[in-house]
Amino acid sequence: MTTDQPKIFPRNLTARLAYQAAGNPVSSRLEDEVGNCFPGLGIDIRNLDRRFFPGLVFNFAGREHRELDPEIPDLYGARLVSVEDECDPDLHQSNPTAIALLAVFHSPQGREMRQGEWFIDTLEQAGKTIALYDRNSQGERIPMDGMAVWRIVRSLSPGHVGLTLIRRDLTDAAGQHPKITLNGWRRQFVDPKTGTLNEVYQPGELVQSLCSPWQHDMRDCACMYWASNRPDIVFAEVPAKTEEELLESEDANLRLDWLRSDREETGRVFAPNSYRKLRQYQMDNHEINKRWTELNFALESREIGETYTPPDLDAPDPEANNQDLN
Amino acid sequence: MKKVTLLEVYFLPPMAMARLGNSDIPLEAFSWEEDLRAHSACQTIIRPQVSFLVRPDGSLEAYLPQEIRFKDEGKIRPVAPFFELWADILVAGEGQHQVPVTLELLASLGISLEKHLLIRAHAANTKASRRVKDPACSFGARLTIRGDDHEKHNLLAVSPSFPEREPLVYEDAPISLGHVQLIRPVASESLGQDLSCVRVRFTPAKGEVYGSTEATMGAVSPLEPGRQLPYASIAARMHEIVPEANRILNPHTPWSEYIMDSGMADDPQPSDSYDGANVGESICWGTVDDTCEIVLYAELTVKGQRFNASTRAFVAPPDYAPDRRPFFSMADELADRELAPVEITEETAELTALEVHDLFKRIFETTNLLNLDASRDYLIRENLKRAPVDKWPSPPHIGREGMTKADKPLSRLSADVMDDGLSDRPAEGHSRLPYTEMSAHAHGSFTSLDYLITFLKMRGDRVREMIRPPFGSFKQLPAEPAADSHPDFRDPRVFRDTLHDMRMPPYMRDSDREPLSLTRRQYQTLMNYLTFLEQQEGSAESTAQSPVTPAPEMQS
Repeated sequence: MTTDQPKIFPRNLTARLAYQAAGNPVSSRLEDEVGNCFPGLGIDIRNLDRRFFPGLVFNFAGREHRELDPEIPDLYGARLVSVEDECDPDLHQSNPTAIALLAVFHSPQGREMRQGEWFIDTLEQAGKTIALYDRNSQGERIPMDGMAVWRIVRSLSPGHVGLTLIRRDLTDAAGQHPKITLNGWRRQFVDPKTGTLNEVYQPGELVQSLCSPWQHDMRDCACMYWASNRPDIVFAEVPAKTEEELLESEDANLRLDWLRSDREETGRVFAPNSYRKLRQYQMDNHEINKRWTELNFALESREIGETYTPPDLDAPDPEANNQDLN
Repeated sequence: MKKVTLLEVYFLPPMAMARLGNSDIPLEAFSWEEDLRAHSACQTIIRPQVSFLVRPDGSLEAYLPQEIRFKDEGKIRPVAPFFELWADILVAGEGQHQVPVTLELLASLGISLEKHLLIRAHAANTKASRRVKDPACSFGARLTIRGDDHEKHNLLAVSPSFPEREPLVYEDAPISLGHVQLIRPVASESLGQDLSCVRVRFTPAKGEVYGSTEATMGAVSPLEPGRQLPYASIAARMHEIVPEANRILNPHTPWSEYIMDSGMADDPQPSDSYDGANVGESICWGTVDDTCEIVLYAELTVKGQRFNASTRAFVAPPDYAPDRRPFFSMADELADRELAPVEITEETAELTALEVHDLFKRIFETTNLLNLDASRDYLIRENLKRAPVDKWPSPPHIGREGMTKADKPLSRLSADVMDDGLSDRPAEGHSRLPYTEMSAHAHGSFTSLDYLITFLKMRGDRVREMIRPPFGSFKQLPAEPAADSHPDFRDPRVFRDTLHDMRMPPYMRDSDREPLSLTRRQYQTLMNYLTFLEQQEGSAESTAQSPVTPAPEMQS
C-alpha cells in the first residue's frame, strides 16, 4: 500500500539535481547526505566558502574553546592563504565588475596582498558593513574567531560583496596595519543552468577537511547529526518471519548501540543514555579502520543481516481491515 | 532525416554520492517510498528499482531485483553511480530538445564513439595536504578513456613530485581510488531503459586505510569524543592501525609529524579529526583513506567543435540506514545558498503542505536512530563548561533543566512524562532511553498529514516557539551585535545564540559546532506556511463559523 506522495521535490533542488538516473540507488542522491558538516562524512560543504570571493582563498582559523580568551588573538579569523586570480574562471568574464577586480589583482595592491598575513577585516553587502571583531573578557576588541567569521560569510547572499583585508603582521609609521578594499561578489557555487559545482573547485577540495581516515570520525564525532546515515541506536535484529512474530519477540523493542564492539549475543544490551557509559563498549579508533564492514545496515530502524526484503506493499493490509471493522 | 544541431552536452546527475564498499558487486538500485500500512506509522521504506548488471564486454543487462543485498559474505556493496550523457539539440523544423546521447543521436550528428568521444577523470584525496600545507602529501589519479574503450580503468593515485619535497604516496605503490568505466551502448531497450545511452560509471574504492611502516599498533583514548588523554594516564587499549600490506606510505613527510592546533591555527575545524589525535601529544599516525572527490569530463567533437560536460562524485562511507533521511541534507544546504525562498500562494499551497510534511517525516526518521538521551547529556555538559547556568533563568534552559518540567511551558509532553526522577541526570544503571523514546513518539504523530496540518493551523504560536531560528542572513544581522537574542534569527556574535537548549532540533551540532537549526530556507518556508494557514483560517472565520477542534499539543 503506497501512495504517490513524493520524496523528491524539484523546486527545492538546484538545477538538474531532481533527475534520477536509472540504475542508481537513492543513496547516491544529495538528499541522502547529511548537510551540516563539522566536518561531515562525504562532503565538507564549508569548503565552498573558502573561495566565496573570486580570486581569493581563505582558511577560517578557529579554536575549540572560544569562550576563553585566545593567547594570540591575531591568529584567528579568515586568513588569506592564496590569491588565485589566474585560475579563477569567474574573473575571466567580460562583465565590468570582473574586469575591475582582476585589474586590482594585477595592480601593486594585488602584489602586496600576496605577501604577509592578511585577514578579512570587514564585509559589506547591500550598504551594511560588519567588522569581524569580538570582545575578550576584559572588553578589549580582538579578532573574531574563524568559525564565527565563517558563519557571517555563509550568511552572504549571491551578489555584490565589499571586503577589506588587513595585514596583521605589519604596521606603518603611524602604527596602522595596511588595508586593502576590494569590490566583488559572492560566488555562485552551483551553475544555475547545468547544476554543476563551480569549476574553480578542484577535485578533492570539497572533501579536504574531512577526517583522515574517515573511520576516525565515524567512531569519534560528537555532533549527533549523522543518525540518518550512521545510526546511534537501532532496534535489534530478531529472527521473525511475520509481523506477529516480531511483536511477540522479547527483543522487539531492544535498542542497541549501533557502534558496539561486541557483535555477539553478549553485546545485545540496551544502549546506555550517556557517551561516558557508551564509550567503553564501542569500537575504538584504529579498531574501526578494519571492522567498519561488521557494522550492520538498519532498515525500518532495525538491524538486518545481509539482505533486505521489502514488504509487499500491494498486498491487502489486514490491520487496515481490522480498523475498518472497528 | 531532419537536420540535428548539437547545442550543448551535459551529464545527469550533475553531482552524486558514491559510497565505499569492499564487495566486488555494487549495490542495486532502489527508491524511497511511503509505507502506508496501518502498523507502519507512515515510514519511508526502500523499494528495488530497475538495476544494471555490467556484462564482461561493458554493456548493460537490466533487471528488477526482488530484494536488496547490502553485503556479500560480510563485504559491503559499494554505491557506484551511473552518469548519463545528455544533449541540448536543435531539430530542424521542430525546435530545441533535451535528449540522452544515444547511438542514434551520434549517427544523426554524423559522429561515432570511437572517433569523437573522450572521457576524462580526475580524482584526488587532499586531506593530508590540507593540514600540512604540502601538495606532495596529496594524491590523485587522472584517466583518459577513448569512446570505444569499455574496460574498467583503475584510478591509481600517487603524490605529485616537487623538488625538495617528500611524496606521501610513492609512484611504485599507488593507492586505488576506484574505477571508471565507459559503458558500451547497445541499440536495445530493456525494462523501459534505453541501453544505447552513453553512460559512465564510477565505482569507489574498497575502504582501505594506508599508513607508513610506523603505523603498526597504537593506543586509543577510552574517553568521550573530543577529550584529550594525557600520556600519564594511558592504560588504553591497543589496536593495529593499518594492516601490514597497507603500510606503503612514505614515513618522511610532514603528515607523519603533524600535530593539530600548532603553527598558524588554521587547521580545518574540528582539528582533532585524524588517527593519533587526542592521545598524548596528538602526533599524527600518518594514515590516509581511499576516499576521493572525482570530476568526470566528456568531450564530444562535432564538426571541428568540442562540446564539454562535467559531473562530480563525492566518496562517502556507506549509508547504513538508507531508508532514513536527513532533515538537513546536502541538497537542502545547496538550495539554501543558491535558490530564492519558496513562494506560497493558493496555487502552491498543496505542494508546500507536502514539502512541510516531508520535512517533518525526515525529522521523524532521523529521530528514530538518534540517542537523544546521550546527546542531551553530552551537550548540556558542553554548555556548562562554557556558561554559568543561572545567567539565563527563563526557559529554554541551557543546563540540566533543559527539556524537563523546568522548561514549561515550552516543554509539555516530555515535562509530564519525565517527572520521574530521570529527567535531570542520566539514570545510573537504568536501561531506558526516556528522551529518545519520547522524541520518536512525539514526532510520530506528525507523519499524518491531516494531523500535522491541523496542528500547524491551530498551534502556529507553539511551532514558532519550539523551532530554533537559524543564524540570520547578512541582511538580518545588525552591524553591531545586539545584547540579547532576536526571536527570528540567531547571531554568531551573541553568546546565548551559541548555547544548546531544548528547541528543535535539540542537542545536535551545526557546521560551526553551534546548535543545529533548519536551513534558513526551510525555516522561512515553515514560518511563511504558518502565516499562510493563519490567514486562510482568518478569512474562513470571517465568512463562516468554523467548527472548533481541540488543538493537539506540540509534543516534546
